[in-house]
Amino acid sequence: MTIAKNAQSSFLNGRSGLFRILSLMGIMLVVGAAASTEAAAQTPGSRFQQIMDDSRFTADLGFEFRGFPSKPLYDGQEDHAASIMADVEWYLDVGRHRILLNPYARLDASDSRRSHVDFREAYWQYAGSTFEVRAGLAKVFWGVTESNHLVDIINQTDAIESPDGEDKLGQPMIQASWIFGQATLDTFVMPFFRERTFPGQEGRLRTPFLTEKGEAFRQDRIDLGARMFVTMGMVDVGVSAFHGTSREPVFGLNPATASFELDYPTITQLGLDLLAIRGEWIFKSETIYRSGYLSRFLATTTGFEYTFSNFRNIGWDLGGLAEYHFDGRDEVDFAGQSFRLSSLEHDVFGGARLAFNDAQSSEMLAGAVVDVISGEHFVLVEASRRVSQRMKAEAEVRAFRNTTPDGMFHFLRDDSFAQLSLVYYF
Amino acid sequence: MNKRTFINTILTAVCLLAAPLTTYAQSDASTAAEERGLEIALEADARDRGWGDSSTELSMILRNRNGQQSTRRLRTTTLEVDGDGDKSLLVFDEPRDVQGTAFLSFTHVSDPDDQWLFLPSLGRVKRISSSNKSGPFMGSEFAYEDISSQEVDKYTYRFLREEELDGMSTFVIERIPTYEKSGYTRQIVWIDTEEYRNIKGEFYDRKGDLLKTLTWNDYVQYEGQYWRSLRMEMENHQTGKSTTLTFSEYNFQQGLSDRDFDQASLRRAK
Repeated sequence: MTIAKNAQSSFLNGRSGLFRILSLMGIMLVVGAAASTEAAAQTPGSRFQQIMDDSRFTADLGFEFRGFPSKPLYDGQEDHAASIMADVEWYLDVGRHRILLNPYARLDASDSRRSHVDFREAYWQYAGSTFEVRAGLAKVFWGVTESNHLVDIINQTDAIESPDGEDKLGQPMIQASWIFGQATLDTFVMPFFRERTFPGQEGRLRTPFLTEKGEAFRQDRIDLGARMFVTMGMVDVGVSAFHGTSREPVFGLNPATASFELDYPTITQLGLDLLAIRGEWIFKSETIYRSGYLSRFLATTTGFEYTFSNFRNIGWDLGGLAEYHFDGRDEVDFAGQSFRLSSLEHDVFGGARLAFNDAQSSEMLAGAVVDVISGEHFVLVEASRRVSQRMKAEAEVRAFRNTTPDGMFHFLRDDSFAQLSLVYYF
Repeated sequence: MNKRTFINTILTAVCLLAAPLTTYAQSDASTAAEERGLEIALEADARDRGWGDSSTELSMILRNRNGQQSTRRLRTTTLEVDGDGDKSLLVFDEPRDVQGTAFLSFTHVSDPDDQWLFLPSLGRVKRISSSNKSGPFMGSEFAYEDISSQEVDKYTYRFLREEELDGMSTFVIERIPTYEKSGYTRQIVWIDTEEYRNIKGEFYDRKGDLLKTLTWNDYVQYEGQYWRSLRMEMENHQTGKSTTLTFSEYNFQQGLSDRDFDQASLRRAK
């Protein structure tokens, strides 16, 4: 197996990259604002029997503030963080073709590594009657569970955005899809790999050791993925396969240099996602089997969601969630030391969602993940509502508690935080 | 853990009078009033069959008792399905924070609807539970059950009287929901005798008190046959809130098919 050190070569790298993307966003903002047209009476989703032109420009601008009540572990870290973000999207539909651009940027006042720009999506797409094709950067989500996304592998995680790992970097790809009735087969050829983003020295929620971009070890290759999805009445099933560079890095200690390094091993992963719905109950399950350098394991997240609609007839929707995680991953041994970024060996998640269904769309979510063996747990509380027709406020509290030295949250033990964000939608 | 807030808005279909049924149950009506009530419901349903597919834009204005307003806008496409309920695809335009969220629904005659929500910020399709439709749609005074496709089988009927309303002669019918989770014990509907269109409805809550009144206005006829109301007004007498639903011109028979209402189309909806 050849391992090549590969600097991430990219149009968006470095200071000139930052300048390029901010200029592009600025141009898009000006042009979009001056010439924005919303085509009248657009038909959603239908692009086959008619030639239709449609174009839209949107921009979201957000401000985020985080406060960390505990003293930080490392020098240079602060007890608060403020940042602004911009998420701009423009698309053009002509007949069966679409071009879409979605640049994104965040500027963080405390952590320069958290300031970053990205194209979440930038693609051309053609939608035919049984065949669709897309080329460029895009965002693809696979999966059905709430507290962990095992099967989702196409996009790299933009980990600096949030510790929940739900923000993703755009993935360069060629996607070809075939549709037969209620079944869809999506196939992916991904020639460029993107490394995970990590906080810098002054950032909170970071690993004990720092990682340098472009110095990770991985095989230079083209990654392949495919997923077959079928919906049959009460059941939705997805079967997926991936062969290529793992999006999850493995940390190891290099005995020669006595320093930590990142490795993105080449893996083969098979995934199964399953959903069955009956009345207010939804059963959800994701299972993966992954094999690669030095390891081979099975992992699963399985659980239920129950919805009380119009709870006690006051219009609220209350949802209860419970999921169990099992991960059979072994420790990979490098000179007696190793770290893993993901290890939910035996964990249980419980949560509840409350939607008030009021004019401001107020919602709340609370949940906890508990390690059954160590008792280590993580608690999340989120609330959001619109504060005006175009502005939305969100508050979030994440607490990492009872951590043990070998637990998954141990490096975050003093990084519990509260966050408030305001987003304005143009 | 889902960082993004869960958008719990559900709409199974938007067009009223747009539920073609090729199968329907014969009621065990034992009285003439019940038979006549069912007859009228069946005739109204039969007159609205064969429209194929339709699309329109909706605008909702929500008003509270202090006169404060907020607006919702969405676009919808619907497909008439042979032997089953309609399929529909909705895309939300306003409020801006939900713009691009799309909702796909396959309604069925006796089973609960199949529903999927597309969340654009995550690129995620989520299947959702549809069995209780009595809650408010997007915070308005319309419950999901008020705007989903009205199927004859969902109610039992009783003819009450004929009445003159707004210069039209109408049948006044009582209908009682047959599905368990309804928010209403009964409804009274005024249907015009000439074209069999809904003109007014009164909704009685679970305690039997009058809760809301709905009027269907500004009817336009399409393809020489199908009537669509372009303005619906719902008033809640108990809270003092009201909602106006306005529809743009409908487009019919655009050659849509099942392919426009599948997972791939849901993911591409904008």
